[in-house]
Amino acid sequence: MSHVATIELEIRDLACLIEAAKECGLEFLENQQSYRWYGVSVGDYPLPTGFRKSDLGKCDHALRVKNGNGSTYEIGVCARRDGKPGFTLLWDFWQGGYGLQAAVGTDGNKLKDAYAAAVATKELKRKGYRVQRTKNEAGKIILTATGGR
Amino acid sequence: MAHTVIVEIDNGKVTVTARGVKGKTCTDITASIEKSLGTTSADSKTGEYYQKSDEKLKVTR
Repeated sequence: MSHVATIELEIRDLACLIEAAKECGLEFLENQQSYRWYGVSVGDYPLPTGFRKSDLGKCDHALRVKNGNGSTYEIGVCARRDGKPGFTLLWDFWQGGYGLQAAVGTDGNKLKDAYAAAVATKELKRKGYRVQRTKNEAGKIILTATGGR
Repeated sequence: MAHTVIVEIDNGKVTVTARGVKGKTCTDITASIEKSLGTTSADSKTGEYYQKSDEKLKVTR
């Protein structure tokens, strides 16, 4: 191996986000302008750059747990407000989001991992690689790509 | 050059590794994958990176 790059994941590809959401049992609600949450911020967590308290609950699209009940919280998919392209995901994990966290994992990591796998697979295939996806016992996703140009 | 790209994804952390390539070719191979995923926060190069791509390793017994 000659070098190892560590990457801070950014959500930029909506198609891959939709694919990852499906994998986690979520459905994409295009142009839904609000997402279900507690409704009031108590200010215990910092907001993403460019967002204000009054922006919470508003979004450009949303993700909903397919088999959730009427009280399961949703994820807001919002255009970033820090000048960079892509999306910020907003959700309320109070009480596990009443089923949301079970679907997307702690800190949404299950959804983020599925998104990263979808993006990397897409890019690798575009470059002509054959991609094999595996998951180890600890839950780590490993993509092995061979035969690229 | 035959090579393998390994992408490991674990709890929101992603690492991309190229195996079987030497020198700058390695970063050329992984650059577009890194860019599609986000911002590269750390990049560690191994001994293989500093070998010239046409360099032959000598084995002394």
